[in-house]
Amino acid sequence: MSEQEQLMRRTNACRFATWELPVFTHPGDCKAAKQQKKYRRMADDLIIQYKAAYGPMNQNSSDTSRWHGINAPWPWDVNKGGNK
Amino acid sequence: MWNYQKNLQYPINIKNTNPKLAQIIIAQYGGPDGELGASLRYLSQRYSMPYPELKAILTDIGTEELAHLEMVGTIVHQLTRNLTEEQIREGGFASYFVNHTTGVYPSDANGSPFTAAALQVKGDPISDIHEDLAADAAIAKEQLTKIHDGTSHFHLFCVSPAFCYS
Repeated sequence: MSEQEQLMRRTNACRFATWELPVFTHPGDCKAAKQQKKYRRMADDLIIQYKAAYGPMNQNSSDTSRWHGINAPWPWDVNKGGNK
Repeated sequence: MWNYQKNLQYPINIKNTNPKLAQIIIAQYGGPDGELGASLRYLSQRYSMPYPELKAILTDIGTEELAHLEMVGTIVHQLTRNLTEEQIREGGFASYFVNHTTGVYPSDANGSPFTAAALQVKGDPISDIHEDLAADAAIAKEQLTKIHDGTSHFHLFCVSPAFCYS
């Protein structure tokens, strides 16, 4: 995996944690809220790092160019497998 | 309204096709206890919930189930892409293939198309939450048996968050 892919993976992992924490925990859970803040900050930092090194992440439809939205690899097309 | 993020919630990269397994996994896509049913169920139930926390959690979980739907669809697609004719026949995949080739059609493991008859929205919070329990407990059980199938090595996202909020 290239460094760019690794950075993207780590960013998505933090985002995953940020999303799952409030879904799995009670809204009044302070410890969970603190953890979510921590992961959100980690994700933000990683995104800044990524943008500085490789340009926009082009994942979110709200900040992706039209061309990129169409032509960048689709999430299910990783390493075309199959036996052909 | 919904935003789309062009990445899978969890990376999936299946190297070897397996049409036989795909026919089982597809139940998690368009079957009665699959992700499509789950997202529709939660996203539809939230309108009549009496408290904002309930509306919020059902919205969040319903949205996440859509992300899961994408992942299961990816799994089915990666298990069935570029099949040879022989593989189709040997994998017992011919009956699905004749109707859908290698498309991903929302159906259960028997080929029955997805139906909202598998979910319920009563507009009463207690009934609806019981409906959620019934659906998601089934998922946890099914997924455990699927993982022990032994033919693949990927982990499925086991217990749905809906289990926890109720």
